[in-house]
Amino acid sequence: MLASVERKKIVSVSCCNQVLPIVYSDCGEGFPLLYLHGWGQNLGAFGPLIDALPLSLRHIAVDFPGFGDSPKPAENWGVPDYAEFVHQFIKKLDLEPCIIIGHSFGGRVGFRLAHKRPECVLGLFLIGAAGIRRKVPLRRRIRIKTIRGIARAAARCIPNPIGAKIKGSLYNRIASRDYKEAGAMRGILVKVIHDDVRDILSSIQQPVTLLYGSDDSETPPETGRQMHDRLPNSDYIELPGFDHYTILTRGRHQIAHQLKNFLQKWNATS
Amino acid sequence: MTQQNKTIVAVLFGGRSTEHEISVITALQVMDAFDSTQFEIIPVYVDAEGYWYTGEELRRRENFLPTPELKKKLLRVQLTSDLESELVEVDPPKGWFGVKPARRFPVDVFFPAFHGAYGEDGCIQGFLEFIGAAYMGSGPRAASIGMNKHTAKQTLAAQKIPVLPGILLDRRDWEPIRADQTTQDILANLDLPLMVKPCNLGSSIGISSAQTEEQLMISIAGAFAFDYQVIVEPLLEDMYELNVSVLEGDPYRVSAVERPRREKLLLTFEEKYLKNGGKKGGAKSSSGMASLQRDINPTDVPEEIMQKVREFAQKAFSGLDCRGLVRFDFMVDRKDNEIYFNEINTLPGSFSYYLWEAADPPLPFTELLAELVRKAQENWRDKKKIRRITERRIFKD
Repeated sequence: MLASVERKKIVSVSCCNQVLPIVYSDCGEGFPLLYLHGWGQNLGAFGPLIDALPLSLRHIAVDFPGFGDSPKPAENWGVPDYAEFVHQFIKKLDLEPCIIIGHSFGGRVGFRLAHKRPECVLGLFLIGAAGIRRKVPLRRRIRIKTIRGIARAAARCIPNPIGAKIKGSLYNRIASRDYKEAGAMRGILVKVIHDDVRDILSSIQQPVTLLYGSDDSETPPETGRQMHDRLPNSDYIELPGFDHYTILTRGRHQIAHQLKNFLQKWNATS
Repeated sequence: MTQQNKTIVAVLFGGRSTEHEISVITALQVMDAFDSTQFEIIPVYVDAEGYWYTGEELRRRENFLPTPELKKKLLRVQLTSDLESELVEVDPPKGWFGVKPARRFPVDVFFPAFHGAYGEDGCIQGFLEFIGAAYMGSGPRAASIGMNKHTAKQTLAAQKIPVLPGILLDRRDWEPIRADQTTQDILANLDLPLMVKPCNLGSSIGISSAQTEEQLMISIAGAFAFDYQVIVEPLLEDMYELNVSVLEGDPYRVSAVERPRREKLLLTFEEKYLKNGGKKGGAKSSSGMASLQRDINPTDVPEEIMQKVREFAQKAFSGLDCRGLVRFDFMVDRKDNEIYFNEINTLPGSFSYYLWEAADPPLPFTELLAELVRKAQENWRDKKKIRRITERRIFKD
């Protein structure tokens, strides 16, 4: 574990009619930067990046409910629920207003938060941000529908447990890695991947920097370019040679540099 | 400059040195950290046989060391002795109308990320100087003096920087007929225990200590396996090291000071490069010098010592006419707090970025690299102002 995120803290956050003990890390002193991690990850994903940043800023990284050491919410939350959770977390730690640094799913939540609660977000600095549903090629769509149809038919016609086993096995052939690994979070995942932020992007007035790795296959650079076209106040930067995850590790020095530029630009205009 | 006005930087790495793999790690870190909005990077890998290759595959850690199959996919390139700052394709393929013209890759700045022989010792710097190319780092003289531990000590001793006494051995001194006499000569001048180092190597390769005459002979024989010159010095049994980096500028900038942590008396290659995650994955997961366990700006070291180390480093940088960025390593004897210059790295592992991130004010890696390229271009422009060819006086038309 890296020095910046090794000392974890716990805070109780109330959201969607429940109180959750939320794990987070907090280092440095100064203007608050809130780090929101990607799907299947935890606050540790930002360790290499935070270690490359000065402690004259306050770095708060949080384990989303259901990830890392924070417990899963009782209900299947959607992205707006996660955004509301972040709002409550910001209020609880008195971070309002702050800059959101989001990776992948964290970027999706960041967009929703900036749209719904603009008063608590001064800017978005997003790395490989998700939020636009990708167009599935026709061949893959046909394959998915066919296999799904066969799986459902098998479940209806063949008695359990064999029918269920066949259905599960067929579903696994078309499922994404995230879906396969989601376990108890599968219900939330289904809600999250159907969330599309396209409609709200034009209303986000805060400055946004979008960073994408050229080799990112999870959130391809095309996603970022589409977002950039819709956002009224954004910069789009593509970093060659990085994928969805290496951008946070090997790419940390370049990200730290771009973050510094973002903060300077934001400081100059505010 | 490219169409997008990016500065083209060719990162040279690998090479015919025992520190080949360390150079690969440093280069991968450098290429990842360069600001891709300002710079276009051309990776140039020199394999252990000395052949030069380029290709985007050379930016990925999983491709090292390249297999013969991968090498076939890469492009063989060379630098020619013409006054052209460009890489030229070797053996261009045949097309419909005969051999295709060789592809050429103009380069704004060459960025050597070599360690050890042929890359850090002034060889490549001399060639780049010869063809009039802009390159990052020290020139051939500072690089070659820095590479030779004995010459570096002599040069810096003349600058009133304290060094340990040492004896330089040449391979001829260790021929079977002379080895005994050489050992006796050493022991007549220096008391045991002693430290034995290859004279022109870094990364702690071939370094060992000797408590007895027999161990001394074994150590010297071992060191000669790596180098044609060996240096023998008194061993400070109760000491710690302090390392500091200096960056060219007016005034010079000095980094944070590090004290490497070690398990044994001498810092080993394993401690330097394989400590953090390296044991399972070796060089595949090592972060080079950045892996080393260290105390940055150790608070238990007296401030006078820290200040002295910073002063000596700046003086040495100036005295050797260094350029770019250099790391100086010092030893402090706990008995009397005496500081001794240990060695200089004109192309330090990981470019000591971890020391600059902790400097006051901090200099992040990406900005450090941009600064090094800017300095290289400045130095190149300054050199171009020097008048090289005088008016014809003898061979007049």
